[in-house]
Amino acid sequence: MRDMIKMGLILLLITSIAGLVLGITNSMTEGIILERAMAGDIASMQVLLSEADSFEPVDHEEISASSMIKEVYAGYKGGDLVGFTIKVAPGGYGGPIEMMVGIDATAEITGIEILEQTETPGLGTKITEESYKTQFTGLTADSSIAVDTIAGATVSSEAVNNGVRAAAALYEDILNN
Amino acid sequence: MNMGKVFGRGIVLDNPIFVQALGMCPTLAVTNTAINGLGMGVATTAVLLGSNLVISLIRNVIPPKIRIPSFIVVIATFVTMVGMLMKAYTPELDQALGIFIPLIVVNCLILGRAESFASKNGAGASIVDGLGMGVGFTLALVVLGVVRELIGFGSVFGMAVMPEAFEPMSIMTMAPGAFLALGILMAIFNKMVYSKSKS
Amino acid sequence: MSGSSIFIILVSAIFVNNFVLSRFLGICPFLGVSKQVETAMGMGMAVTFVMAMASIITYVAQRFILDKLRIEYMQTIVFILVIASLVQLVEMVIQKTSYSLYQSLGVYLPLITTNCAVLGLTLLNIQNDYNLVELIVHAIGAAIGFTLAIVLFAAIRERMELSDLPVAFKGFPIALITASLMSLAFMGFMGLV
Repeated sequence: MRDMIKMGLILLLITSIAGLVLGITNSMTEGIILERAMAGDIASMQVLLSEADSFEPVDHEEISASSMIKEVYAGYKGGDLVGFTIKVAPGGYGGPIEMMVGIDATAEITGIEILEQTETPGLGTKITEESYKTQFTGLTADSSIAVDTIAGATVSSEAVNNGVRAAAALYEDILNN
Repeated sequence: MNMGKVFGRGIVLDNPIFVQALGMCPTLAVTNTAINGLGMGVATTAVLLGSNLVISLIRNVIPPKIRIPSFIVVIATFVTMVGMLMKAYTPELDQALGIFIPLIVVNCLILGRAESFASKNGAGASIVDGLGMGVGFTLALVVLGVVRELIGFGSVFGMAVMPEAFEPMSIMTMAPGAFLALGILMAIFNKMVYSKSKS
Repeated sequence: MSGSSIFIILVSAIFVNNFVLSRFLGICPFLGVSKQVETAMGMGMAVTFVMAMASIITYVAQRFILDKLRIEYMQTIVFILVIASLVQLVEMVIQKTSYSLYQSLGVYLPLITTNCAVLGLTLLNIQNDYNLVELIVHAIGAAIGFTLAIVLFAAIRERMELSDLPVAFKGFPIALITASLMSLAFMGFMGLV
C-alpha cells in the first residue's frame, strides 16, 4: 500500500512539473500564435477589400448563434462603408474549412480566401488554387450562389459553395440593411 | 562506449524507418513533400533529444512499475512544447503536419529509445543516441519526401526541377503512393545493405 | 441532428477515410500483427473496445476539465494518460473475468497504448467538434475500418507467405506494396459521400 502511494506521488510530481513547464511555454507562445492568426486574417481582409483602409468587427446575434459563421468585419474607406469580410467554416472532407468571403457594398463578391483546411493533398486542396477561387469573384451575393464542383474533390468544393452561400445569406438578411 | 558507433548505428544499420520500421504513421502521412518530411524529422528529433536527456537523468528515481507512464508524460510534455513552438514560429508547417504533431507522442521510435537506451545509459550517451536515431529518421523522411514530391509535383523542396513536358503523377502525393514509395525504397535499402554485408 | 449525417460519419470513417489506408493511423499494428487472420481479428477486437471507451472518456475530460479550466494545452498528456490507464484497466478486468478472452486479446492490449489510431481518433473527435452521439459513431466506424483493413491485409499476407520473392522485397517492402494496392482500391470509395 505504501508503495502504491509513493508511486502515485512520484507520478503526480512528474505530471505537475510537466504542467508547469507547459504552462510557461504556453504563456510565452500564446500571444505570438494569436498575433500570427490575426495578422493572417487582416492580410486576407485587405486582399478581399483592397479599397478599405480600416476594419470594424460587426456584432449581431445571428452571427454569434451560427456555427458556420465565425467573424464578420466591415471595411471602411475614410468613413464610407465599402463592404464586408465574412469568415465562415463549412465542413469539408477532412474537417472544417476556414475561409473568408469578401462582399462589397453593391452585393458583389470580391473574392474568397481559404485560411485553413485539412483536405486531401492533390484533390481537395485544389480549392486553394487561384483558378478555382477566382470563379466566385464578381458574382452577385445571393443565397443560390454556386460554382461547378471540382472533379475528384466534390465534397471539398461543395463545402466552399456552402460557405459562400452562408456568407451571401448573411449579407442579404442582415448586413445589407 | 564508442560514441561514434552509437551515433552511426541510427543512420544506417539500425535506421529507424528502413530497418526497424518504427514510426511508420508520420513517415507515410507527411512525406508528400520534402519540406514536410524535413519538418516532421526535425520535430521528432527535438522531442527524442529532450526525452532521452530527461529520462536518462531521472532513470534512477523512477520506480520500475511506473516506468512507462512516467516516460509517456515526459515525451508528451516535449511534444506539446514542440507543437506550441511550431504554431508560433512555423505556422505553415504546423498546418501541413496537423494532427501528426501531437501524434509524435505515440511514435514507437521515441518510447522505444527511452525504454531500450535512455533508461539504461547516462545523459551523454543518450543524447548521442537520440541524435543518431533522429538524424536517421529525418534522412529517411527527406528521401521519401523528395521522391514523392519529385514524381507527384515535379519539384524538390518547392523548386520545379522537371522539364515542362513532365506530367506530375498526383497519385504519389496520396496514400497509395506513400505506401508504394516506401516499399520500393526499403527494398533498395535492403539490397544495398545485403550486397555490402556479403562483400 | 439528422440521421443522414450520422450515416455519413460512419461510412466515411469505415471506407472513405479509412484510418489505416487513407489517414495513415495505426500503421504499426497494421504491419506488425497482420501475419495471420486470427491474430488480426483479435487485435481488431481489442482496438475496437479501447477506441469506444477512450472516445467517451477523453470527450468528457476535454469538455468538463480541460475547457473549463482553460488548460487545453494539456490535451496531449491527458489523452495519452487516459488511453494508457484505460488499456491497463481493460487488461486487468479481462484477466479477472474471462480467462479465454484474456488468452485471445491479452497480448495485444499493451500494444494499443502506442497505437496512433486510438490517440488520433480522440484528437480528431475534438477537432471535428463532434457531439457525444457523433463521436461514438465515429469511433465505431474507425474501429470497423481498422479491423476491416487489418483482417483483409492478413488474409493477403497469409497467401503471400508461399510466393517466391526477391530477397530484398521480403518482409516489410512487399507488405507496403500490398498496402499500396489496397489503399488504391479503397480510393474507389472516395465518391461515396
